[in-house]
Amino acid sequence: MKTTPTLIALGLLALSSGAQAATWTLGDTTLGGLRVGAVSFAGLPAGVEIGNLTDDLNDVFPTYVAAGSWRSFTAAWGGNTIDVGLTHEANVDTSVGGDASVAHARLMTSAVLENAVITQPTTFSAVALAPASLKQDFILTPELGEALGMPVYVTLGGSYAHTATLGTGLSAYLFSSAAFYLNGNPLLTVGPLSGVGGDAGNLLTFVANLGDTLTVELFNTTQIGAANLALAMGALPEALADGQLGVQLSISPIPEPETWAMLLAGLGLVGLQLRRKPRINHKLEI
Amino acid sequence: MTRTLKPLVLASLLTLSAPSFAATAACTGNVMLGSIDSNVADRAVGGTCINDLILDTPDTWGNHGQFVSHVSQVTLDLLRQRALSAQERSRIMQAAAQSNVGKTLNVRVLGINDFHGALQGPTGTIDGKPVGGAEFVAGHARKLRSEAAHSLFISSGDLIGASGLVSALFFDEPTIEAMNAMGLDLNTVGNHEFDKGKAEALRMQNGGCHPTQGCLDGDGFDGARFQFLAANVIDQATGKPLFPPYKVYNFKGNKVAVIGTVLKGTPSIVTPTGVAGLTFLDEAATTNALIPELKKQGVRAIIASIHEGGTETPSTANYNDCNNLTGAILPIVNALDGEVDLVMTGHTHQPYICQIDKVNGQPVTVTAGAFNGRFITQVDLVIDTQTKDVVSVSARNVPTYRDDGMAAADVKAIVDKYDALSAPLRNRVIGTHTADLRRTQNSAGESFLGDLIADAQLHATKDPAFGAAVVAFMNPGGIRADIPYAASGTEGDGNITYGEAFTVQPFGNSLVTMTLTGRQIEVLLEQQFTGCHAGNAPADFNYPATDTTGQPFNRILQVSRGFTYTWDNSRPACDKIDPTSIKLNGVTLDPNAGYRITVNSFLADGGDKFYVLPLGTARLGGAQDLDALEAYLQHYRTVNPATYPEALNRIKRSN
Repeated sequence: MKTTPTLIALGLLALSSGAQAATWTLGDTTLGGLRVGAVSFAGLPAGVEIGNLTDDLNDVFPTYVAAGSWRSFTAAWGGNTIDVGLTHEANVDTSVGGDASVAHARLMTSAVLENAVITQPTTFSAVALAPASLKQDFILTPELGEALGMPVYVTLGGSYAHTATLGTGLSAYLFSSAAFYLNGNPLLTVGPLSGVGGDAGNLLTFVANLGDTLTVELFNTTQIGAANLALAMGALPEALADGQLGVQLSISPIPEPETWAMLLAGLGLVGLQLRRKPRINHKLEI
Repeated sequence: MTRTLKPLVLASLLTLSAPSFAATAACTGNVMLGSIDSNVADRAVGGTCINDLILDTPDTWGNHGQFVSHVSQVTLDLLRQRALSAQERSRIMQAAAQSNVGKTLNVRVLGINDFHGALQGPTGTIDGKPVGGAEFVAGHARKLRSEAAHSLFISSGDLIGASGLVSALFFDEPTIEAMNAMGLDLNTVGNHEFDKGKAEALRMQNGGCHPTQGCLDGDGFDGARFQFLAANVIDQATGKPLFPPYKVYNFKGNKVAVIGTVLKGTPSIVTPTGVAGLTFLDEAATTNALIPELKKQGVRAIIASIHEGGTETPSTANYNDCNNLTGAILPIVNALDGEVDLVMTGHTHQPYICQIDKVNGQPVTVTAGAFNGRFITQVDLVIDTQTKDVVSVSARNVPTYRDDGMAAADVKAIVDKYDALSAPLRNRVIGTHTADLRRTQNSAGESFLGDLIADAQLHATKDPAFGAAVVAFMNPGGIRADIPYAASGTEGDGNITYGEAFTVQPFGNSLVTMTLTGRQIEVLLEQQFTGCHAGNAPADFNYPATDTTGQPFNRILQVSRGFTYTWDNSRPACDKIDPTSIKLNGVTLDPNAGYRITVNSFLADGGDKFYVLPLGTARLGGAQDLDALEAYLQHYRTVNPATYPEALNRIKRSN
């Protein structure tokens, strides 16, 4: 971990001295996520919801991806009602904060039970499950003055945040994981991460070559539920849970122009075919 | 992940700042996402309305996904605080997804061209009001930029060179520093950026004191903080462009590229020493060749900044129209790749806003903003954040009126500093003389100062490497003052100062040497006189059909030593001169032979109705006229009108 600030500082130095910064271009995008919600009072079905991640928004463009569904339904049986909310969201951007050398991918899911009106004692079962997956190819793209095959530093940053507020008898399941591949070869896996929590960022810096494809696979699931929970009149069963998983990808030049020139001379002809095995400076698994 | 969480941080900050108006936060109506109604009643959270927590003003987000992500973070936080129910959050998110927020981004591009170091205004009058001066250009530029979330400020050549006195005295360092202060983003080189050669152009970019004169203002020179561009100027030493071919700007992930080119004919209008070691390539071909590279970088919004232009025929008082534009820019634009979204031009000192077809037959907006900072060209681009391409262009020229409150004090301070320092430099002695050198014309039309200047121009271009000229012609209107014998400053009587010479030749014209036939020289001389025009002149006079009036008065060109002729006022128009009287060093001109002649760049393009001059061939650019005069005064030593060779004895008149 200690080498990372140095590398970033060197990268910035190289940038400030006029070096070009490579950018990210989006390759293939695969989105998945089926939301399922079901509630029963006294063992009888009271409401169900089913749908896909892309139901409300499905923008897949060369420079960004935005998809999501935000749905809720009210489960009712006799005088008893309760609201169930389920959301999915995926967001990919190739220019974070206007910096084209920084891309990010983020998944978010949530499930909510709230606004209960219980007018007659009953038993209550509920499950609200929101799983989401995102597989995104990011291609390391040359800027002016750079060529395919040129080596650059790539830094992966990540974070997750799982929160839950649960009433008595209600449970939550929160899960995230991430996997990274370079040109199809496994590079790093993060997780599984489960339970309430989060982290400030985990880092991996390695050398890749312009033209390489970095594949990011993200999984995120939020589930809440109750099984045969006994409800008294006026009870307020309530559950709020959400999970977010994000990764940030940064490119920085290797600050040795003369080395670049030598490598260019050596690599130029074989450019596309050449795939150097990434040199992993350090590895962090949670 | 600090960047990803930024919207959340922002929302938290907004929440923190809420107490200042907590008591007054009255949230009415529904939560709106752009123009989409979520049907969720707005409410105060921590003293701030949800509508104020959601940032949906145009140009805040680089794409629609960023906006949706922002709303997600804000509303998730509100959900956790129980300020929104899941149902309400769903409705808000669905409205956010449906909205157009973030789907387009506005970028304002400001342009100047042919500023020519015009730091001190006014530089002209537009619609009856004075305009120009660096502090007013800065003031207007800042105002126009303040109205836009995203903007660029670019110069399309001749930012420096042929400059105002204060800038010229300090090798144009004052203009570079003034432009640094006013926030210019880039400058495409024009022909005048090469007036002093490649090394000096590089110094303007990179900084460092003048190689022989040092830093005359007593502090250093850091060079331009803005980028010089020169896509089609190839340094023969490296085979690469002298300056970067383009620059890409990134507005929240939406890239806008500016490609800079200068007229390929630059060597025909700039002195050979200025363009030594440089090759100038075709403007459109160079621009087009860069576009695949830009597209690979995800750039779809492309601006061509070209130091070449056109002329309205005839020009109109409306500086935002395009009345029958002619000139070299037309075939260039006609050859431009269809991906080009805007063309910003210059060189011809004209203001226009045109639509000209590209190679694909689609029109593109082509702008120019006159010269000397009289206008700032304002172009508003709308970029589709999904395709990253420009979907709308609107342009207008904004006069830089010297209105109260529009002067930028910091820029004025830079100009004032150099103005105060300039007095001793104005008084730099560049020659000596024994009497007033007058521009007063005798009855034949010849003046002493005209003789001197024409001789200086011949002297500067007579060497084979600099044109091999045998005669020079100077327009009388370009001689703006006498050179007095009496001291104008502290230099003492009989000394010619740079300031005095600058007053005589303030336009910064450069010299052009070309070949005319003996017959064409005769035509040139006939075009001096009134009464000759398209209606009565032979075809080889090259009058445009629209010119049916000719000269408004006899406009007698000043000629260099060795060139003589006689004109007869009683002869008919277009035939005032017996061609056998036109002699060079005593020998009558051969109508069919070629002669190398030198004129200034204004005349070379047909200025002052000398329409035969654009027909001249084998053109070679030369020094600036003022530099030629200085060099000649140093060469000739003390000028005594009484003994000056062939003074006032070159042009003769009968009747």
